[in-house]
Amino acid sequence: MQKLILINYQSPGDVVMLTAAVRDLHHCYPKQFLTDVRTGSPELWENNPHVTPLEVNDPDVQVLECHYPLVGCSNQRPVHFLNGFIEYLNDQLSLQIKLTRFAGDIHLSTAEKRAPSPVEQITGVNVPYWVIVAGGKFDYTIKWWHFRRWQAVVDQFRDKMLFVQVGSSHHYHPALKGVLDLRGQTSLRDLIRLIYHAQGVLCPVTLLMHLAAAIETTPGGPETRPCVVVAGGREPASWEAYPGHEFIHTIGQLPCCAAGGCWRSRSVPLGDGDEKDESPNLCLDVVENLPRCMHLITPELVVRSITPLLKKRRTGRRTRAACAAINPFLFRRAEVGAVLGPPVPKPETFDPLLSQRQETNHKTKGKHHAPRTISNKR
Amino acid sequence: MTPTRHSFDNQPARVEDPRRRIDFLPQYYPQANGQEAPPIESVEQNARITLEFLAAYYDLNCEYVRLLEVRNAPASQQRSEAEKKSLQAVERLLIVRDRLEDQYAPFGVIADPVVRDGFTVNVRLSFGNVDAAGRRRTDWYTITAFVPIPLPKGAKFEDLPMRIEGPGINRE
Repeated sequence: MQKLILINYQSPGDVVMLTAAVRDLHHCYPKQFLTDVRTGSPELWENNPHVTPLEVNDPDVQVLECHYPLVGCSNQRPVHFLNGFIEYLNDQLSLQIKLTRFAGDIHLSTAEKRAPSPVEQITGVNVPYWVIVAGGKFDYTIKWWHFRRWQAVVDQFRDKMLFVQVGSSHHYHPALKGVLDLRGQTSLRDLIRLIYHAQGVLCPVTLLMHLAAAIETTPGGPETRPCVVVAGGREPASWEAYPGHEFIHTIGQLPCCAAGGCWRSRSVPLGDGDEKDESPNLCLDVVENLPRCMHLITPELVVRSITPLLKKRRTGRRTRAACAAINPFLFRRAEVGAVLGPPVPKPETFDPLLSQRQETNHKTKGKHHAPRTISNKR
Repeated sequence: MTPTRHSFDNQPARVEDPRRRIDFLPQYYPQANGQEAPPIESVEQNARITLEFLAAYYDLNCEYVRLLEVRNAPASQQRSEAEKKSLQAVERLLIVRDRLEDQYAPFGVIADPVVRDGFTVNVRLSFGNVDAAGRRRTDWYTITAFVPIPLPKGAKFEDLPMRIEGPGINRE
């Protein structure tokens, strides 16, 4: 048997893609390989039957640093991120691995599946919930949607659905009101368990969308877990979108992403000395410091994408008892307004969505069209 | 098309620093990340953003004081009117604060108030360009640890089959 150690120290989302390549290597070449991995996210490989401990200094072991140059063709060829490492392994090892499942390969132990959801462990109530990511890392800020827009979506589903907010404390994840706030409190393994029990995921293009597809659903649940991705125009939908996901994008809608993803890094320079602040990596079309492609995606559009998914899952309004049990755990921002007493007429109407509505209306009357939602129904 | 550049560095704060005001009340000026506020003349980007948020929360605190004073007065039509006006002023200031948050969100700025008895006493700020310790995110830094490893009895440095470097060790 050929012994392989695969190395990749990119972000966890990239590593989820590698799990698919390892799975399909073994599927297409059964009992021909022993594989081990060296990645920055070992938790993604827990319980993985395809991983065998191997030593780098074993003379029989081939060590392969893994990349996905296929991304360079993603605007020209209809290929998915999942094919990235598979094609690389095919090239490097002269193989013909084929993708066997349109998802990564994350495994939970029986104990993990049997344990109550992290939400139930915290609140004591077994309620349906969606996981939300309202930010991201500082390297590709162009993927961020404005936090008030995420908030507007959460507000729309108040008393109908519980959102659980997650995100690393080292990244940009502004607090949302009225959610169960687990920012900075979940290990990667906690996140996997959280998503296993989740009815859906709402996020930008990030690890969570890959986990939403890769992690199996609970027994009796749907084949695929709903996931709404606020994507904009950075990546082509064919590269990122999964079956069953609502991938809201603007490819083809704007000059800067007319024929494919722009693949740029930042909407505005952060001043951190990173080369991503330089001109070739900056968004070409910024509106109120937000990429126009993300600006065109309104909270209403995202709400419209989520609503039918809820009806499909028959996630009804939460019972009064469930609401009462959950409410103490929901995040409330402490501020002077919280102790002011009953509301009074406002001196001027402040509608955080008003300017974007006006902007969108103005633009759509001109050259732009509404963002598209790609629903990859099976 | 060329990318739109947005640089805030080396510009003075765009709001008046309340510490310049004659009627400044220092007890209502919040801390920033548990520390004293940056100097008034600061031009560095993050210091300037900090000052803008502190000014917004200072104004909110002052308006809240006025509101409490109004509420201490005996109930009357006049008091109701004054209370309404004060509440509207608070709303206006919250809008100013919200606009600041909106403006700086794409730069990775988060400003969370720490509130005690209705007053903002501290503003926890984080920025897109530096980490929690204030280091630029792309800066290299080293972490060192002192791990004493006793030599085997009778062994000398010269006998060790490895190269040892470090403070206090001056042999190749």
